[in-house]
Amino acid sequence: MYDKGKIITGIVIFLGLMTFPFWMSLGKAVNPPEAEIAQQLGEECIEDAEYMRENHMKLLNDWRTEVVREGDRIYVASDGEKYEKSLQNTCLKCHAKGENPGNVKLSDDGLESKYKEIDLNSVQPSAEAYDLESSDCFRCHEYAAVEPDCWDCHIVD
Amino acid sequence: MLEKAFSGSKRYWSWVIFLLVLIGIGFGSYLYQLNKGLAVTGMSRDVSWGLYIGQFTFFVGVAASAVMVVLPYYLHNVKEFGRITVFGEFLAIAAVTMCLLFIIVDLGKPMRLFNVLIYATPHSIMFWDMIVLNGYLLLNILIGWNVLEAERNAVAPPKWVKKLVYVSIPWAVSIHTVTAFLISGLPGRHYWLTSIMAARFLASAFAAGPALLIILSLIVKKFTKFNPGETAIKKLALIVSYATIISIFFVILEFFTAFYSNIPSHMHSLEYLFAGLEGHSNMVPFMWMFAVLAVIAMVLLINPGTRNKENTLLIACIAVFVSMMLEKGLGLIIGGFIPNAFEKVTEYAPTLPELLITLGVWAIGAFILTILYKVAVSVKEEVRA
Amino acid sequence: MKISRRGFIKLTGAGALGLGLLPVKNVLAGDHSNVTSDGKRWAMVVDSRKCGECNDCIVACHKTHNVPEIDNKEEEIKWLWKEKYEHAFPSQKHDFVDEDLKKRPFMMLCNHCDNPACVRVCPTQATFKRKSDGIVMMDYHRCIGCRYCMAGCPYGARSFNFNDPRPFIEEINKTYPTRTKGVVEKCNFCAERLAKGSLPACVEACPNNALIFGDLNDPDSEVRKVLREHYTIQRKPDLGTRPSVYYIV
Repeated sequence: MYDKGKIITGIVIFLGLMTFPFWMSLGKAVNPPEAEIAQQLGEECIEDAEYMRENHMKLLNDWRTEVVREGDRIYVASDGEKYEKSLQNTCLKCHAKGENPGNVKLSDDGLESKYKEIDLNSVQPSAEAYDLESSDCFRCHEYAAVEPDCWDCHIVD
Repeated sequence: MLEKAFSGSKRYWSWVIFLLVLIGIGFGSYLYQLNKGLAVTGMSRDVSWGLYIGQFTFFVGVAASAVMVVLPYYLHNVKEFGRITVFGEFLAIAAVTMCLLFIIVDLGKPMRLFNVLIYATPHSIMFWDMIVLNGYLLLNILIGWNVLEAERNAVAPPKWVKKLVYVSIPWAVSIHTVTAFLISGLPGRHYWLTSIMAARFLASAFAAGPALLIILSLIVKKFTKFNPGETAIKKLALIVSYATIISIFFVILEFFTAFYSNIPSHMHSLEYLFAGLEGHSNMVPFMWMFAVLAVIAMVLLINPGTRNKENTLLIACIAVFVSMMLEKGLGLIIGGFIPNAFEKVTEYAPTLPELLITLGVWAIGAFILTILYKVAVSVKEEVRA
Repeated sequence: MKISRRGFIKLTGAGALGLGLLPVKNVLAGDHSNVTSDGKRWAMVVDSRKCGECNDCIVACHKTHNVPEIDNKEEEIKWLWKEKYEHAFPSQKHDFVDEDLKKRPFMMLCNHCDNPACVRVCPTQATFKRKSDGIVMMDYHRCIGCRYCMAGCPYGARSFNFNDPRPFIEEINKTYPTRTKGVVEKCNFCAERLAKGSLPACVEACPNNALIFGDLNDPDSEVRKVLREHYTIQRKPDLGTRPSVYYIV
């Protein structure tokens, strides 16, 4: 083999660089955070945990589109319960500290009584304060190094 | 074939490194823009498109270099163009890539670029522009690369390539037409609202594209062992001559309609560009430079003596390229925004970061062109040897 | 008139082709003018005679919607602002406009056109016209910041966030989101207030009742009444955009 030395050095450097992230984080294993706050409250989420873990981002995306563009504000869960499609008024009620969870399920005319009938076509964040950094969302996103940009525009204290 | 790009003279490598440095500077400036927002550019609420979109429209034109050699070669059997079709196609690849980059650097939210595909919107001309530009890029990559490879292996190109060539000819017309439609169908932008916009785009494209191809062919001839052929260059020069004359004629038509009708809103932009409006005259020197260069180019190109002499042809081609860039790549876009919807004048001048980013995109174009031309020239030298 | 079978088939063929082209025309020309006929169509009448020196409507609008206050004219964001007659209606000006009209401010805002050019050109449908009430809305989540809508709008109603807007908002209204660097924004006719049954913030804030708001499709609405009783003009009606903002001069 020609240039044996160069090739072997090259392979060693390459492998070293490729595996860098693995041995850099050796011994630093962290357990993935659970949805602690919600569990403490003993509330069940709108769908089961496994479904939410895998699909919450898609669900939130769909909610956003449906609310902003189609004015469709009510989510009917697979068990038939109804919820308001709202990050702040539904999700954060259980997944963040600082607010009494209350009942996020809607009665049959829940939304209709909440807003007057004219049109339900727009985004209306409420001004309720949540401790965002303690929220389940924040801790898990930090663990997974995911940075959703919701808070660039939407305001939560 | 790509391995040909990895061996070259010292001059080749210094040029490549020089371009990489410029790309680095441009990229750094882009990161700065990404971080601070488009506030670092000279664009404003009133002039909301500037140098980037101007350069985009201009380089769509440059991509016409391909069709102007491909059409005569494949449809009219002009054999002389056989040697340089691949150069025309490779120039189109570089030009279209630059177009796409100019669009991306102009976006406020570039990370959402793919929304154009996710939420495909057929009533937006921008959607169609994306389709025709990407399609043209793909066509030229496939055609150029396969034809060159066949030449290297001394076989005829595969049959499907020829079919793609026939598709690429009307497709080339579509990129100029659709890009013109981007601006020519907007209510309230009087300077753009002209039905000859697409025709103007085609004419100026058929002038600027082949003009650059002549300049590049002369460079290839000087620095390599490959000669693109004198007759090919002469024929291209003739195309450039006609296209330049038609292009200037179209600009004169715009002046006639605006000033003979005497409708103020139709005259305002032209007044601003060529004479200044309400004391604002940033663009006036550039537009007169366009006019002077266009006349010089026309004189040099109409006269057969100067058209057929390499030195004067080179000057003529540079004059065509620069004048068309000033008219289409700067004046046309900015003129559409001045005066604004309230008939007030807000002027525009690019900032340093904007110029550096533009330079970076140019360098990327030049880099792609260098690599592709290096491969093409090496293959052709090898075949001739 | 006698018509051969061949001729008849030709004619029907041509007719069918024409019908086939109709949807193409509708798509390309984006003629949405008939979709609101069964819903509402919100509109505003600006009574410029009553408009005084104050800026109450502008302040109310900009505070409600977290519109940043940027001093640099070239990068400013505005949803509602004043223009002089000659700038608001450039094709209507002449050399001898009366002094009062010359001085009078005219409130400028998005016209919420029935046939909006901005919606036609937007490549992602980030700006769209709501079928239910004709409001031309922005979906800020979707906007890629290409600013094609700004080139398309003949009224200069759109602003682009050249900067991150947050530092330029003095007091943030926590019930409404801000925007982010790199998207286009404009007046939304207070869609979020209409949803709760309130009038737009500017209408409510005006001390002189110079802004009248209502449903154009309702013959008994306040706007229709005012339009019936006064001579009104629109900005650049010749462009065929069919604005929903009218001016009493």
